[in-house]
Amino acid sequence: MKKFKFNFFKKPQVILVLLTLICAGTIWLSSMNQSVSAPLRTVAGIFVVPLQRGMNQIGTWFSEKNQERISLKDALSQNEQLQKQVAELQAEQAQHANDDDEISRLRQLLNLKETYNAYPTVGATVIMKNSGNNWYRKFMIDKGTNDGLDVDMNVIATAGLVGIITDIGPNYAIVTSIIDEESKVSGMLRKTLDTCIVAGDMSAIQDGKLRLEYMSNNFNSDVDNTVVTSNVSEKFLPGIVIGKAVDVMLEDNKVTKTGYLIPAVDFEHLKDVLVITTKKQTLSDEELEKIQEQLIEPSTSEDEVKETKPETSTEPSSEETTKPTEEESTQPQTSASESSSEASSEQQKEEQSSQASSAQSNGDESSESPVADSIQADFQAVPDEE
Amino acid sequence: MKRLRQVIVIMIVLLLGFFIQINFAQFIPSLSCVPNIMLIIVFSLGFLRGPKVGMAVGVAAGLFMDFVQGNIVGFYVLIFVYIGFINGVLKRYFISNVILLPLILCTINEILYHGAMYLFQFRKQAVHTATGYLRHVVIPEYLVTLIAAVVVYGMVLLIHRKLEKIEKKGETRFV
Repeated sequence: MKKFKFNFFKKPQVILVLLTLICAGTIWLSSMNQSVSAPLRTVAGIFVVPLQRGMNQIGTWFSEKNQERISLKDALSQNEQLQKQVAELQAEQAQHANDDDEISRLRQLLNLKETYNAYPTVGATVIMKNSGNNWYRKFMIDKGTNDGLDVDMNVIATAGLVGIITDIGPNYAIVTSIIDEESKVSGMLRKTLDTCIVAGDMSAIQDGKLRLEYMSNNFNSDVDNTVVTSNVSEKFLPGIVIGKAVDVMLEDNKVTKTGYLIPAVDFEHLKDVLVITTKKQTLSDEELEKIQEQLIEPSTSEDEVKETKPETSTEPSSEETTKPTEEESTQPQTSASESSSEASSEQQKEEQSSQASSAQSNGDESSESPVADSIQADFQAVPDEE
Repeated sequence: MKRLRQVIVIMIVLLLGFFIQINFAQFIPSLSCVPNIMLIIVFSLGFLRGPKVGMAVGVAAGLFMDFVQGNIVGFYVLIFVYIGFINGVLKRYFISNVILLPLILCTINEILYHGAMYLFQFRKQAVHTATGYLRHVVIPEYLVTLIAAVVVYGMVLLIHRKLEKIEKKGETRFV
């Protein structure tokens, strides 16, 4: 009887049914809780990721050789120089656009700019693009929980938004880029703060565009059409450039406009990215409080900012490289342990404003440096880190 | 001993296929999409060696692809286990031909695979974007995988024949 039962379990159909049940179980469990797949991630992190990094270096060597074959070496170096110049000019232009906005805005909006002009970032390299299949547009970077990263952290490049971390292991992270079908980013026009939705679309990306939906009816393409991440996004920090809106036309419902968006980042040649280590979810409480305070009593909040500024100017101007790791370690701890008490929120606000103003004093740029400019400064600091 | 040898050889084949699939775009930069080498390995090993080996290879290949896709474990494992099993069942009814068979197998398995992937998308716009998926994802990948199938199937067939030869040699020695 026992022997018969054991032979029964060896039948392929029975194994198939068992495996189906196990798989359905793991799919259900891991869709609810990320920690189920932790053993797979550690094993993969030990065996696969280092090999992949090595292969990626070989691959970049190959692609570089290929490029040298196609174009002359001189043309290549000139191209690099021109690209650097273009990146610098883009950052400068973004700064000027933001300055214009600040001059024409109310004082409350001016204080608002100070809350999100300098995010702490960690540099990372892309080690695998398109995750080996053609249905999803996800890529893998070589930093993970060991470097302080976590799920839902935004990923940016020099020009703008790239994606968001959706899966993480000890020494790798998988980023869903904004051109993926499933990705929907809540954006807003930088000039008018009208919200819209930026969605990835399979046929649009063949022309290098994303779909832009639910744009307000009074969008005017003569005015500046840069789209940035909006305040009301659940996972994306506000103020990050996504791209430029083009071809916007009125929908049949005569209420919203739909069009296309040309992303600011070149997704074909993505190599180095920055991960913003502040999460929107942890930022929202203190930011909301600061916004509310500024709307109600603008003078007192201004005094608060002025008070914290002389405090932090006496701090030793630590390098930008050590600041991010410091802030990474303190922010998640404080935000996790003390969630809603007032004293802690004030402490976080002070940390936030001190971090913002000290980042300004570190960067030594103009006092209201916009996001793109600080991103540029951080990106230039990354080679020093390595 | 026989099982260990089989496991090691199949693991090496899977690892090679996995890394080639992931880095394919870098070595040939002008390509728009990547051939599905893991699928080819799963169905060819399943066809040549039976349903149980096919399911085991499906589990391993599925774990590799799940790791890379992130979030949900078991997604690709389920698809590949079924593909391995179905191809293993087909082993009884067909003789392996070198050129025509991989093309036919590839067609059937790509239909199964993409059908499963499409079903799992669960999006309410899915019906509208079906033709979009066909044009931009399924057809290019199918064509590239067809070409790769002949090559990879040939190599897997060689390995399979070599393994069989070593096993048979072991058996005759015993007698």
